[in-house]
Amino acid sequence: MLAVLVMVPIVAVVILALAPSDNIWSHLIRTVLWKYVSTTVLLMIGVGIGTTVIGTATAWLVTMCRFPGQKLFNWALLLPLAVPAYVLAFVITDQLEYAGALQTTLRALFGWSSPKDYWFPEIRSLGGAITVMTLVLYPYVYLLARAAFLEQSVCALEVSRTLGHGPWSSFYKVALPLARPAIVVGVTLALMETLNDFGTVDFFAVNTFTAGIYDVWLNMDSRSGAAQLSTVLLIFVLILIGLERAHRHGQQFHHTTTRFQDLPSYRLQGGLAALAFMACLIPVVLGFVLPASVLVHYALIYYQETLAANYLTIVGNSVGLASLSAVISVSIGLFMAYGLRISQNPVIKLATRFASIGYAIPGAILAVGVMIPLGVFDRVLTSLFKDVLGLGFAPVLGTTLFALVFAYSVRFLALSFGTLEASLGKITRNMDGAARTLGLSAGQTLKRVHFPLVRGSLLTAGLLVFVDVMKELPLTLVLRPFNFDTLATFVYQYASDELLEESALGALTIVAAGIIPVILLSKRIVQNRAVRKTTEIPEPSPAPAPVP
Amino acid sequence: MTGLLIQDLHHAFDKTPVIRGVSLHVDPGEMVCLLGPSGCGKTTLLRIAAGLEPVGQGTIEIGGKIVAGGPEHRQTPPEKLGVGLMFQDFALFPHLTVKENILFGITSVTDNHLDWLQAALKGLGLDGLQDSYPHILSGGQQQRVALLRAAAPEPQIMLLDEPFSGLDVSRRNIVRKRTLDFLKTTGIATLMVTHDPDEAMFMADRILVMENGLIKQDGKPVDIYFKPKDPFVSSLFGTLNKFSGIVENNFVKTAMGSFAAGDLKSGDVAQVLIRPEGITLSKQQNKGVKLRVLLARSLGHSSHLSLTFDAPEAGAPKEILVRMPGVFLPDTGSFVWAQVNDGHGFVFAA
Repeated sequence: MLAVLVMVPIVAVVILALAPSDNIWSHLIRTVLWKYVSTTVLLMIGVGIGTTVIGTATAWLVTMCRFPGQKLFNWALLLPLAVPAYVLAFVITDQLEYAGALQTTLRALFGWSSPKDYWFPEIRSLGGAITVMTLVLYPYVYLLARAAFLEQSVCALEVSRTLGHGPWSSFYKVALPLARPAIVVGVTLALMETLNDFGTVDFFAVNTFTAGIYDVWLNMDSRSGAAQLSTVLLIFVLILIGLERAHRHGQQFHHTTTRFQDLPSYRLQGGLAALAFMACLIPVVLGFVLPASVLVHYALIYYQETLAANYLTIVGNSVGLASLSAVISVSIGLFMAYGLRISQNPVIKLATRFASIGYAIPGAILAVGVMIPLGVFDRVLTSLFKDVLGLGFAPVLGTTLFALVFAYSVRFLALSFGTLEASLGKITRNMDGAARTLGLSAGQTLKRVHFPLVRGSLLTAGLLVFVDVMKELPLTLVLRPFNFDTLATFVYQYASDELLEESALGALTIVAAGIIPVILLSKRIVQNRAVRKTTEIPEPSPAPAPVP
Repeated sequence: MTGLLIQDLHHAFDKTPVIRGVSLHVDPGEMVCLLGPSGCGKTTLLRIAAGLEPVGQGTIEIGGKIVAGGPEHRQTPPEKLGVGLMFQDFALFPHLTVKENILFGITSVTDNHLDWLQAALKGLGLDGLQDSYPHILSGGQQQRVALLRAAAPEPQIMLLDEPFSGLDVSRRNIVRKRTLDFLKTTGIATLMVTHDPDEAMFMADRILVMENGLIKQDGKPVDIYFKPKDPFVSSLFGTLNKFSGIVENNFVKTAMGSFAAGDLKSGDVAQVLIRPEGITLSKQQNKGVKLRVLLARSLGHSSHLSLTFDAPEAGAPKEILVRMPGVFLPDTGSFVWAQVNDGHGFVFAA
């Protein structure tokens, strides 16, 4: 039932697009559609290649090689995940544009006086967008590739070595193919984020689909046009989801043996070690250290301006919204994960899967999808209150906090659901059986076995949703009530107006919140291997499978 | 009085029958092993007996009372059954200590329970571990904790699902012995599922051989080994040498000699199955059937030989496998003479 409610926005978009009141398909095709398609595809290709190369290379370096700083990079490479793409976009532009620090220094050094004297790459461009997004999204690939490299049995690598392949050749022939499904999953996640991004492409004036949807909706005021663009974007998303699911499935076949040993750890020295160090350092510096330090610098100077601009109210708004959405999303997620666990009904299973793809749906589409049904609902409510009940007022749901929280919950349900499902999955059916045969009812089993075991995950799931809501920009921009600001919209508006300095404290707050999940992730990274070693259960218990 | 009595049980998953009419009983103090290949329905049978799966058709009685099925289609929830169940993966609760795990099923813990716990931990070599968490225990220790947890509420029957398959082969024998001793002191009725015939032979007072949702044979371990009722039961203990022949005057004549044909009528085609260890070889001439040695290998405690008839014989396999105790390693190509031991040579209709 809940799953159905969650599916409403997506279904609404498709319906509106297929049954348009004012058909602008032909207009779109004649004008902007191909521009949007080609830009989006180029952006995806660029980010895809960038994140694959950086993510895989750094993951391989920190798992398989030993060089100075390698332990630190293990978790430091995750830090850029804390920086929303739009924040990095603002900072990089601020530093690299004509009036920025770098170009000013260059001019002073070489005595140039005007842009005609030298060539400098245009930051606010497709290339710039690709760079920015690669820098903040590569941790997805890094995280999954790293886990895959760690999980690979060293035996496979050792066999390859005994068969005459050197370390590099073993990497290409064994390690990389084994990790490929994980890398693909990481890249698809990064690309989903790319499609979702609005702040960066808008600021860089790159005409992607997401930017197009906003343009059509807000500037051309055509809801059905936005819905039609959304369906095209949805096709991209569905392809990505398909890719992701297919490769996630492939990951299951990884474990050929349960033997885990210490990884071979090639000791790098001299120039090679320095190269490895730089390869890991550059993404961390550009993706995290630079934006964080610039923001700290500005925040220290301009914090009074930020405080004067209602900073505390805005933080309150953000925290309130994020907390509320986290609680709702975790509750629904728990309910669904539990339903999935005890239900054998294939319809429920399918509905649950479908409901949890919200994370892959770009905020722009969700915004359209939430507005449409709520708009209809509002009209019904209005007529109900005014005509039937004869009252002089009517409640309005569109562009209210209700709409916003609903949209957040749909979008981030996958986060809470996934976390809880994984955690419930670790409680084997046999544990249920053990508890029941030892005299506990189903309810007592939930209380004494399940709850203590998932308590930690409930918190994790809540935190993940909380932080993502804090960062969320595109949904908030469309659905927020008039004159209601969150940290994300506040930073976006100030920075778009070239007032980055005044909003630095806000941006810094978002980044600080974003570090929470990074810490959680890096903790899990460190534990993972240790835990696996001690709780080896050689043979998974075969579920009572039907006999063919 | 019986501990566990199951009558005419049927069960299906998604209309695929898994259990197709099983009846069995386990008496108090008795250890019964359900032996069969994976997918034969034995684990499902155990889960039904534990109340974890609903009864489709049939009756389950514990201590003389119908707890599931029967004319009223009763379905007692697992927590009300008083059944101890031990899982293959042990299913210890990771968030509880050893002591908390073991006492999990006891509603109000008394001093008696604590005394019992101390004695039991000591008896099973777990003293000092009561405040440890499961993940630091070895597989054997986890197994013993799981056993104690299942036994702590003093259930009337104990169900064990492949309780040793997660352990190192070298540790299994000692753990089996310890488990058996422990269960015998409790006088509980135990039903254990296994796919390992050696384990069943060692543990069981009685073995139930299961195939395809049916019980094929119910008997003492010795009888399962020496008096298998059909080719499937005889093949549980490994590959057999299969000869065929036609029944004449109550005997089947094969290349390996004549065997009593039992119920088979004259003119019936019969198969004679002989275990590798059911044949004795000798280098002494003319003592039995002459065979040529293809391969002889020593396994230490026994020797494994592969042999063939010098000239092809009707109804005889191309290769005959023999296991001889001790070291018996004739040269490849040399001749030996074979005799079938008494009691070996199982005759079935072909």
